[in-house]
Amino acid sequence: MIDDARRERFLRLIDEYQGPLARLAAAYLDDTADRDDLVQEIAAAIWQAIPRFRGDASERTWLYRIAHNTAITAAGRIRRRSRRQVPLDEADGSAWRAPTVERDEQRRLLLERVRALPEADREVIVMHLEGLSHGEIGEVMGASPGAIATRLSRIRERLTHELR
Amino acid sequence: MNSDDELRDLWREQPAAPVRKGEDMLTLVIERTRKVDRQIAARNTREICAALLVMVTFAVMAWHAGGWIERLGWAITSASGVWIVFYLMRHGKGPGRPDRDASVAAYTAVLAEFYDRQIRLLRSVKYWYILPMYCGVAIAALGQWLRTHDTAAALRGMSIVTLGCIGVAILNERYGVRKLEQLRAELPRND
Repeated sequence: MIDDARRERFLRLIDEYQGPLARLAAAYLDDTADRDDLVQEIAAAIWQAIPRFRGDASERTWLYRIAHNTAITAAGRIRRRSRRQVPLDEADGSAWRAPTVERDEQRRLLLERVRALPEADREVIVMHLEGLSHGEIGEVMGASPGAIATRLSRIRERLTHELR
Repeated sequence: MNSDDELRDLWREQPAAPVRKGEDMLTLVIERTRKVDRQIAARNTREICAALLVMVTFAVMAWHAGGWIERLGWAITSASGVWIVFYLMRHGKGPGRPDRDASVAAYTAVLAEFYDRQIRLLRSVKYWYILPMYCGVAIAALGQWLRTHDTAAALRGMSIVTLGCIGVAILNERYGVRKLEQLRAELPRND
Protein backbone atom coordinates (compact mmCIF):
# COMPACT_ATOMS: atom_id res chain seq x y z
CA MET A 1 0.00 0.00 0.00
CA ILE A 2 1.59 3.25 -1.11
CA ASP A 3 1.16 6.36 0.98
CA ASP A 4 -0.90 8.82 -1.10
CA ALA A 5 0.95 11.95 0.04
CA ARG A 6 4.29 10.36 -0.78
CA ARG A 7 3.01 9.28 -4.15
CA GLU A 8 1.59 12.72 -4.97
CA ARG A 9 4.79 14.45 -3.99
CA PHE A 10 6.87 12.06 -6.06
CA LEU A 11 4.69 12.52 -9.14
CA ARG A 12 4.84 16.30 -8.80
CA LEU A 13 8.62 16.30 -8.34
CA ILE A 14 9.15 14.07 -11.37
CA ASP A 15 6.81 16.21 -13.44
CA GLU A 16 8.62 19.37 -12.39
CA TYR A 17 12.23 18.18 -12.45
CA GLN A 18 12.43 15.49 -15.10
CA GLY A 19 14.06 17.91 -17.58
CA PRO A 20 16.69 19.24 -15.14
CA LEU A 21 17.44 15.70 -13.95
CA ALA A 22 17.93 14.50 -17.53
CA ARG A 23 20.32 17.40 -18.17
CA LEU A 24 22.14 16.64 -14.92
CA ALA A 25 22.51 13.01 -16.04
CA ALA A 26 23.87 14.25 -19.38
CA ALA A 27 26.60 16.09 -17.48
CA TYR A 28 27.77 12.75 -16.07
CA LEU A 29 27.16 10.19 -18.82
CA ASP A 30 27.28 10.24 -22.58
CA ASP A 31 25.20 7.19 -23.49
CA THR A 32 21.47 7.85 -23.68
CA ALA A 33 20.49 4.55 -22.06
CA ASP A 34 23.02 5.13 -19.26
CA ARG A 35 21.57 8.56 -18.61
CA ASP A 36 18.09 7.10 -18.42
CA ASP A 37 19.42 4.54 -15.96
CA LEU A 38 20.91 7.31 -13.83
CA VAL A 39 17.67 9.33 -13.89
CA GLN A 40 15.81 6.23 -12.71
CA GLU A 41 18.35 5.70 -9.95
CA ILE A 42 17.95 9.32 -8.84
CA ALA A 43 14.16 8.93 -8.95
CA ALA A 44 14.45 5.82 -6.77
CA ALA A 45 16.60 7.74 -4.27
CA ILE A 46 14.05 10.57 -4.23
CA TRP A 47 11.25 8.08 -3.64
CA GLN A 48 13.12 6.59 -0.69
CA ALA A 49 14.03 9.99 0.74
CA ILE A 50 10.55 11.57 0.57
CA PRO A 51 9.45 10.25 4.00
CA ARG A 52 12.57 11.87 5.53
CA PHE A 53 11.91 15.31 4.03
CA ARG A 54 11.16 17.68 6.89
CA GLY A 55 11.37 20.97 5.05
CA ASP A 56 14.65 22.04 6.71
CA ALA A 57 15.95 22.92 3.26
CA SER A 58 13.99 24.04 0.23
CA GLU A 59 12.56 21.22 -1.85
CA ARG A 60 14.78 22.18 -4.76
CA THR A 61 18.06 22.06 -2.84
CA TRP A 62 16.94 18.83 -1.17
CA LEU A 63 16.28 17.30 -4.59
CA TYR A 64 19.61 18.46 -6.02
CA ARG A 65 21.45 17.02 -3.03
CA ILE A 66 19.89 13.64 -3.70
CA ALA A 67 20.52 13.92 -7.43
CA HIS A 68 24.21 14.80 -7.13
CA ASN A 69 24.92 12.37 -4.30
CA THR A 70 23.31 9.59 -6.31
CA ALA A 71 25.26 10.57 -9.40
CA ILE A 72 28.54 10.53 -7.43
CA THR A 73 28.21 6.81 -6.74
CA ALA A 74 25.96 5.62 -9.55
CA ALA A 75 27.45 7.31 -12.63
CA GLY A 76 30.78 5.50 -12.39
CA ARG A 77 29.08 2.17 -11.77
CA ILE A 78 26.69 2.63 -14.69
CA ARG A 79 29.54 3.70 -16.97
CA ARG A 80 31.65 0.67 -16.05
CA ARG A 81 28.70 -1.67 -16.46
CA SER A 82 27.76 -0.23 -19.80
CA ARG A 83 31.32 -0.40 -21.16
CA ARG A 84 30.01 1.13 -24.30
CA GLN A 85 31.60 4.30 -25.43
CA VAL A 86 29.30 6.24 -27.65
CA PRO A 87 30.49 9.21 -29.61
CA LEU A 88 29.00 12.36 -28.16
CA ASP A 89 27.09 13.27 -31.34
CA GLU A 90 25.24 9.99 -31.22
CA ALA A 91 24.84 10.02 -27.48
CA ASP A 92 23.11 13.35 -27.20
CA GLY A 93 20.48 12.34 -29.69
CA SER A 94 21.64 14.65 -32.42
CA ALA A 95 23.45 12.09 -34.56
CA TRP A 96 20.87 12.36 -37.27
CA ARG A 97 21.67 16.02 -37.73
CA ALA A 98 24.97 17.23 -39.03
CA PRO A 99 26.32 19.63 -36.44
CA THR A 100 26.82 22.28 -39.01
CA VAL A 101 24.56 24.77 -37.36
CA GLU A 102 26.66 26.88 -35.09
CA ARG A 103 24.17 26.65 -32.23
CA ASP A 104 24.22 22.85 -32.27
CA GLU A 105 27.97 22.87 -32.27
CA GLN A 106 28.11 25.29 -29.35
CA ARG A 107 25.63 23.19 -27.38
CA ARG A 108 27.61 20.04 -28.06
CA LEU A 109 30.80 21.80 -27.04
CA LEU A 110 29.24 23.13 -23.83
CA LEU A 111 28.14 19.66 -22.78
CA GLU A 112 31.55 18.26 -23.64
CA ARG A 113 33.33 20.95 -21.61
CA VAL A 114 30.98 20.53 -18.64
CA ARG A 115 31.67 16.79 -18.65
CA ALA A 116 35.39 17.42 -18.74
CA LEU A 117 35.30 19.51 -15.55
CA PRO A 118 36.35 18.02 -12.21
CA GLU A 119 33.29 16.50 -10.56
CA ALA A 120 32.75 19.15 -7.87
CA ASP A 121 33.06 21.95 -10.47
CA ARG A 122 30.63 20.09 -12.72
CA GLU A 123 28.06 19.86 -9.94
CA VAL A 124 28.36 23.58 -9.24
CA ILE A 125 28.07 24.70 -12.86
CA VAL A 126 25.15 22.36 -13.60
CA MET A 127 23.16 23.86 -10.74
CA HIS A 128 24.16 27.36 -11.80
CA LEU A 129 23.02 26.68 -15.37
CA GLU A 130 19.73 25.34 -13.99
CA GLY A 131 19.21 28.67 -12.25
CA LEU A 132 20.02 27.90 -8.61
CA SER A 133 21.32 30.84 -6.57
CA HIS A 134 24.76 30.83 -4.91
CA GLY A 135 23.03 30.27 -1.57
CA GLU A 136 21.11 27.27 -2.90
CA ILE A 137 24.21 25.76 -4.51
CA GLY A 138 26.04 26.32 -1.21
CA GLU A 139 23.28 24.45 0.62
CA VAL A 140 23.57 21.52 -1.76
CA MET A 141 27.34 21.42 -1.69
CA GLY A 142 27.81 22.20 2.00
CA ALA A 143 29.81 25.35 1.25
CA SER A 144 29.35 29.07 1.81
CA PRO A 145 27.78 31.24 -0.92
CA GLY A 146 31.05 33.16 -1.09
CA ALA A 147 33.04 30.01 -1.80
CA ILE A 148 30.53 29.06 -4.48
CA ALA A 149 30.78 32.50 -6.08
CA THR A 150 34.55 32.23 -6.25
CA ARG A 151 34.38 28.75 -7.67
CA LEU A 152 31.74 29.72 -10.24
CA SER A 153 33.73 32.68 -11.39
CA ARG A 154 36.69 30.40 -12.10
CA ILE A 155 34.56 27.79 -13.88
CA ARG A 156 32.70 30.37 -15.98
CA GLU A 157 35.95 31.95 -17.03
CA ARG A 158 37.26 28.59 -18.13
CA LEU A 159 34.06 27.67 -19.95
CA THR A 160 33.57 30.92 -21.77
CA HIS A 161 37.22 30.91 -22.80
CA GLU A 162 36.88 27.39 -24.22
CA LEU A 163 33.60 28.12 -25.97
CA ARG A 164 34.76 31.37 -27.53
CA MET B 1 29.31 33.05 -25.84
CA ASN B 2 29.84 35.31 -22.90
CA SER B 3 26.92 36.02 -20.69
CA ASP B 4 25.41 33.73 -18.09
CA ASP B 5 22.03 33.94 -19.79
CA GLU B 6 23.48 32.76 -23.08
CA LEU B 7 25.14 29.82 -21.38
CA ARG B 8 21.92 28.95 -19.55
CA ASP B 9 19.85 29.11 -22.73
CA LEU B 10 22.33 26.90 -24.50
CA TRP B 11 22.36 24.44 -21.62
CA ARG B 12 18.57 24.16 -21.50
CA GLU B 13 18.32 23.64 -25.24
CA GLN B 14 19.81 20.16 -24.95
CA PRO B 15 17.78 17.63 -26.89
CA ALA B 16 14.98 16.53 -24.63
CA ALA B 17 15.34 13.12 -23.07
CA PRO B 18 12.39 10.76 -23.56
CA VAL B 19 9.84 12.14 -21.13
CA ARG B 20 8.20 9.58 -18.89
CA LYS B 21 4.87 9.97 -17.24
CA GLY B 22 5.18 10.24 -13.47
CA GLU B 23 3.10 7.08 -13.02
CA ASP B 24 5.42 5.11 -15.33
CA MET B 25 8.45 6.40 -13.44
CA LEU B 26 6.84 5.46 -10.14
CA THR B 27 6.24 1.91 -11.39
CA LEU B 28 9.87 1.66 -12.56
CA VAL B 29 11.16 3.08 -9.28
CA ILE B 30 9.13 0.70 -7.14
CA GLU B 31 10.28 -2.27 -9.24
CA ARG B 32 13.87 -1.08 -8.99
CA THR B 33 13.67 -0.59 -5.22
CA ARG B 34 12.18 -4.06 -4.75
CA LYS B 35 14.87 -5.58 -6.96
CA VAL B 36 17.63 -3.93 -4.91
CA ASP B 37 15.98 -5.10 -1.67
CA ARG B 38 15.81 -8.65 -3.05
CA GLN B 39 19.46 -8.52 -4.12
CA ILE B 40 20.56 -7.33 -0.66
CA ALA B 41 18.47 -10.01 1.06
CA ALA B 42 19.88 -12.69 -1.28
CA ARG B 43 23.46 -11.55 -0.65
CA ASN B 44 22.97 -11.53 3.12
CA THR B 45 21.42 -15.00 2.96
CA ARG B 46 24.34 -16.30 0.86
CA GLU B 47 26.89 -14.89 3.33
CA ILE B 48 25.12 -16.40 6.33
CA CYS B 49 24.72 -19.77 4.56
CA ALA B 50 28.41 -19.81 3.60
CA ALA B 51 29.44 -19.06 7.20
CA LEU B 52 27.03 -21.71 8.52
CA LEU B 53 28.36 -24.24 6.01
CA VAL B 54 31.94 -23.62 7.16
CA MET B 55 30.96 -23.90 10.81
CA VAL B 56 28.86 -27.02 10.42
CA THR B 57 31.29 -28.82 8.06
CA PHE B 58 34.29 -28.32 10.32
CA ALA B 59 32.28 -28.98 13.48
CA VAL B 60 31.29 -32.36 12.01
CA MET B 61 34.92 -33.01 11.07
CA ALA B 62 35.96 -32.13 14.63
CA TRP B 63 33.33 -34.49 16.02
CA HIS B 64 34.59 -37.39 13.92
CA ALA B 65 38.30 -36.57 14.28
CA GLY B 66 40.67 -39.43 15.16
CA GLY B 67 42.61 -37.61 17.88
CA TRP B 68 42.43 -34.58 20.14
CA ILE B 69 44.95 -32.47 18.21
CA GLU B 70 43.05 -33.06 14.99
CA ARG B 71 39.78 -32.33 16.79
CA LEU B 72 41.21 -29.11 18.20
CA GLY B 73 42.31 -28.05 14.70
CA TRP B 74 38.92 -28.58 13.12
CA ALA B 75 37.21 -26.94 16.08
CA ILE B 76 39.41 -23.84 15.62
CA THR B 77 38.57 -23.82 11.90
CA SER B 78 34.87 -24.09 12.70
CA ALA B 79 35.12 -21.31 15.29
CA SER B 80 36.98 -19.12 12.80
CA GLY B 81 33.77 -19.06 10.72
CA VAL B 82 31.97 -17.49 13.71
CA TRP B 83 34.90 -15.13 14.27
CA ILE B 84 34.86 -13.94 10.64
CA VAL B 85 31.13 -13.20 10.77
CA PHE B 86 31.60 -11.37 14.10
CA TYR B 87 34.57 -9.39 12.76
CA LEU B 88 32.71 -8.37 9.63
CA MET B 89 29.70 -7.27 11.66
CA ARG B 90 31.89 -5.37 14.12
CA HIS B 91 34.33 -3.70 11.73
CA GLY B 92 32.90 -4.08 8.26
CA LYS B 93 29.72 -2.09 8.51
CA GLY B 94 31.11 1.14 9.95
CA PRO B 95 28.93 4.22 9.80
CA GLY B 96 27.10 2.82 6.77
CA ARG B 97 26.25 4.76 3.70
CA PRO B 98 25.10 8.27 4.42
CA ASP B 99 21.65 9.57 3.56
CA ARG B 100 21.45 10.80 0.01
CA ASP B 101 19.85 14.06 1.13
CA ALA B 102 22.93 15.15 3.08
CA SER B 103 25.02 17.95 1.59
CA VAL B 104 27.46 16.81 -1.09
CA ALA B 105 30.42 17.63 1.19
CA ALA B 106 28.98 15.60 4.08
CA TYR B 107 27.96 12.75 1.80
CA THR B 108 31.39 12.62 0.17
CA ALA B 109 33.17 12.70 3.54
CA VAL B 110 31.15 9.77 4.91
CA LEU B 111 31.57 7.89 1.66
CA ALA B 112 35.34 8.44 1.77
CA GLU B 113 35.37 7.13 5.35
CA PHE B 114 33.32 4.14 4.24
CA TYR B 115 35.81 3.31 1.46
CA ASP B 116 38.81 3.84 3.79
CA ARG B 117 37.28 1.41 6.27
CA GLN B 118 36.68 -1.19 3.57
CA ILE B 119 40.23 -0.75 2.27
CA ARG B 120 41.67 -1.24 5.77
CA LEU B 121 39.50 -4.32 6.18
CA LEU B 122 40.74 -5.88 2.92
CA ARG B 123 44.37 -4.97 3.62
CA SER B 124 44.22 -6.79 6.94
CA VAL B 125 42.40 -9.85 5.56
CA LYS B 126 45.37 -12.13 6.26
CA TYR B 127 45.14 -11.45 9.99
CA TRP B 128 41.43 -11.70 10.70
CA TYR B 129 40.28 -14.02 7.90
CA ILE B 130 43.11 -16.25 6.75
CA LEU B 131 45.24 -16.68 9.89
CA PRO B 132 42.61 -18.19 12.24
CA MET B 133 41.37 -20.58 9.57
CA TYR B 134 44.89 -21.49 8.45
CA CYS B 135 46.01 -22.16 12.04
CA GLY B 136 43.04 -24.48 12.54
CA VAL B 137 43.74 -26.41 9.34
CA ALA B 138 47.48 -26.61 10.14
CA ILE B 139 46.79 -28.01 13.63
CA ALA B 140 44.32 -30.53 12.20
CA ALA B 141 46.88 -31.56 9.55
CA LEU B 142 49.49 -32.01 12.28
CA GLY B 143 47.05 -34.16 14.21
CA GLN B 144 46.35 -36.27 11.14
CA TRP B 145 50.06 -36.66 10.45
CA LEU B 146 50.76 -37.73 14.04
CA ARG B 147 48.02 -40.31 13.68
CA THR B 148 48.82 -41.64 10.18
CA HIS B 149 52.47 -40.58 9.60
CA ASP B 150 51.51 -39.98 5.98
CA THR B 151 53.89 -37.10 5.25
CA ALA B 152 53.07 -36.88 1.54
CA ALA B 153 49.34 -36.51 2.19
CA ALA B 154 49.94 -33.90 4.91
CA LEU B 155 52.25 -31.87 2.67
CA ARG B 156 49.86 -32.15 -0.25
CA GLY B 157 46.91 -30.98 1.86
CA MET B 158 48.79 -28.09 3.42
CA SER B 159 50.15 -27.00 0.03
CA ILE B 160 46.63 -26.79 -1.39
CA VAL B 161 45.37 -24.88 1.64
CA THR B 162 48.39 -22.54 1.56
CA LEU B 163 47.91 -21.81 -2.13
CA GLY B 164 44.22 -21.17 -1.54
CA CYS B 165 45.00 -18.75 1.28
CA ILE B 166 47.59 -16.93 -0.83
CA GLY B 167 44.98 -16.64 -3.59
CA VAL B 168 42.40 -15.19 -1.21
CA ALA B 169 44.97 -12.72 0.15
CA ILE B 170 45.99 -11.58 -3.34
CA LEU B 171 42.37 -11.23 -4.48
CA ASN B 172 41.49 -9.09 -1.48
CA GLU B 173 44.67 -7.13 -0.88
CA ARG B 174 45.46 -6.38 -4.50
CA TYR B 175 42.35 -6.49 -6.67
CA GLY B 176 39.78 -5.67 -4.01
CA VAL B 177 41.81 -2.80 -2.59
CA ARG B 178 42.61 -1.48 -6.08
CA LYS B 179 38.93 -1.39 -6.99
CA LEU B 180 38.00 0.43 -3.80
CA GLU B 181 40.87 2.88 -4.22
CA GLN B 182 39.59 3.61 -7.71
CA LEU B 183 36.10 4.29 -6.34
CA ARG B 184 37.55 6.54 -3.66
CA ALA B 185 39.60 8.44 -6.19
CA GLU B 186 36.44 9.09 -8.21
CA LEU B 187 34.88 10.99 -5.31
CA PRO B 188 34.69 14.72 -5.96
CA ARG B 189 37.21 16.92 -4.21
CA ASN B 190 35.65 19.94 -2.60
CA ASP B 191 38.79 22.01 -2.32
